[in-house]
Amino acid sequence: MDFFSLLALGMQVALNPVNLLYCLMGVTLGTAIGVLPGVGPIITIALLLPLSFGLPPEASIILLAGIYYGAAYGGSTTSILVNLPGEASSAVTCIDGHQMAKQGRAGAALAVAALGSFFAGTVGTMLIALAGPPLAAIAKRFGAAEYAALVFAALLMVAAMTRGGVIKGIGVALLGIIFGLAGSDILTGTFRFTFGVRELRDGIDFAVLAVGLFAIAEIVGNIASGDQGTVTTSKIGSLWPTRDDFRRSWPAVLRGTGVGSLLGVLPGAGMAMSSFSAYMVEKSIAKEPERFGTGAVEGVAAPEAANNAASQTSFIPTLLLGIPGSPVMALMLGAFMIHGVQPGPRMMGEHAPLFWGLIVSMWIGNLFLVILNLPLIGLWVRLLKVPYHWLYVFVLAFACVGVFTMGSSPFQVYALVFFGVLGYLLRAAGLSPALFILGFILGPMFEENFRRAMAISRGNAMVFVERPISLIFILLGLAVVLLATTSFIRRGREEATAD
Amino acid sequence: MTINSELLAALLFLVFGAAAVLLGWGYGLGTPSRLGTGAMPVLVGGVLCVLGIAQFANATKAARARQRLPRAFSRAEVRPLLLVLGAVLAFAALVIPAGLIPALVVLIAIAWSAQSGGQRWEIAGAMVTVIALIIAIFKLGLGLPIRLFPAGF
Repeated sequence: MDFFSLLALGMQVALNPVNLLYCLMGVTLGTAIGVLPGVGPIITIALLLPLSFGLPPEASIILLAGIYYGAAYGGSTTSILVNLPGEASSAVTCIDGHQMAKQGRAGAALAVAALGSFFAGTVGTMLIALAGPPLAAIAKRFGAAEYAALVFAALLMVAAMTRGGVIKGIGVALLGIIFGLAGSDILTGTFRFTFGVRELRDGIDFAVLAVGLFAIAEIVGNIASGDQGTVTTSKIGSLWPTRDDFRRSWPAVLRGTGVGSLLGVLPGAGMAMSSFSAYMVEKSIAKEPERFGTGAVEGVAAPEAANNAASQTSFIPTLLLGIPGSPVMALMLGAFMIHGVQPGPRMMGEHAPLFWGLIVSMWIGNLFLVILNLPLIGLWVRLLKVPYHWLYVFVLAFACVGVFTMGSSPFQVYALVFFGVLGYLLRAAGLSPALFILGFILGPMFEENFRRAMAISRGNAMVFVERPISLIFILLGLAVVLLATTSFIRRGREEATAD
Repeated sequence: MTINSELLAALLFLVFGAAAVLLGWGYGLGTPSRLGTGAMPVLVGGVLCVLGIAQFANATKAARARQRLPRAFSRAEVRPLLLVLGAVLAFAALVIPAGLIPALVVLIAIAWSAQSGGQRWEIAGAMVTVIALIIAIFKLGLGLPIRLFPAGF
């Protein structure tokens, strides 16, 4: 099928009224949690995983994806109006966005952010559609050795980009791998780490693990860090940017889209890193860099375009290679697997309606977001008045009921307590629970391909360095770890507060 | 010596790494061309142990240099942690015998006291809102068969 008939197929799926409704629900929820500090896309997607069992695959993936890119939009609203980033990816937008708000130009800042994001989202979506077929054709030729090396490189790259140092990053990913290995061995059927518990034979339930690690530990941390206090919001003012704003921001949006699209594909870089990098690019090429920090419209346009472009292009490795480059993408991959869909080079052929439906729905979702974010902005700001103790009680109740309904036995709820404690310990040790999740998802993938590659090569471990593509991946992973110990990335990482 | 976060990370790596190696060994390593069930746990656990030792060395070096490292467990977190976990445990214990609504009432009552911020009267409002939303989503929206009250009601 040619490109346009595939897009038409996607249209059919995405424009189905039920899927359209789930797309709208996803982006609405995404905007809401993007606005609310203390509830992010990771928690929300984790909480909704148990629910997505009951939905058809298209609807649930469209819903979860909407939450993910919707949150990048919503995060900018609080950054601009309250100087409080709802998401790490919009932290940079605070710098100039809030200054603009203070000058009574919040409306213009919001409009530039929304329109820039829409443009970037459109480009990102097109990139997935265009990159899909050729990339999948290359990836189809990967053997087990190449896949094992790719997973190895992806894990090292993400671990190196996370705050807290390379040792802790790699260590916590390995910890996740160990938990991911629990259950029956796919090649021999032997039970591992099940300790005679029947419920563990199929492995640790991904949704329970995600909810426990993120929701419980996050709630405890937020309660302990104390009062959010009341927030004062700036007046919104006119939503129309001036002609000067347009003139200054469109090249910034273009550059931001480029930076974001590129960084979104790389494992570990993520949305936060891309918005930060886009801001630095704008500042360094500006004729009057001293305007930055005092309400420069480019300082809003570029990072917002960048994080939205990155949120779209980060689907490329996840969907086409089956290798998630970020924790949220690991959750998305888990959602696919719950529905028995294995993302990877074959997905486009075997699940064409789902793949192209998702892509078209992401574009429609981006359109919904502009409509949701500009005229309805006042509604979202009111969300900030919801006190945290109402929010966390709801999140906790939702988590318990959602996990309980997956098995109709309290076993999973008790497991939730266990992973809550584990999540708390990880946080206390300064280890990233997100990397743990990534290890959990990638571990079994690595094991299967590693063992298969060893079997094919008759036990010769040199196969990983003798095959050129595999060697390139391994060297790439090691190079990033080496680079991470140099000052440049370390500084960028600390300032960007990786997500 | 108080436990700081660097030391806790080292301990976690060592404990889980050693457990993976020991258990994995029992599952059998296999041969290089037919790797056994235990090969990956032993490999990953072994690397984790090495990282744990390196992390331990870093932590003790920092302690000797009298760096002030953040404490792993802050006192402000103990109370919310216990109450939040207690609320989940109570829900798990009650949901089958007592039904969804009583289990949620107890969960909210315990979880509410984790943060000192809320007003007394608000708890009733929070209970009604949260329970209504949960029933609307799970029971009415998704049509899941959950009993709301104890059997016999």
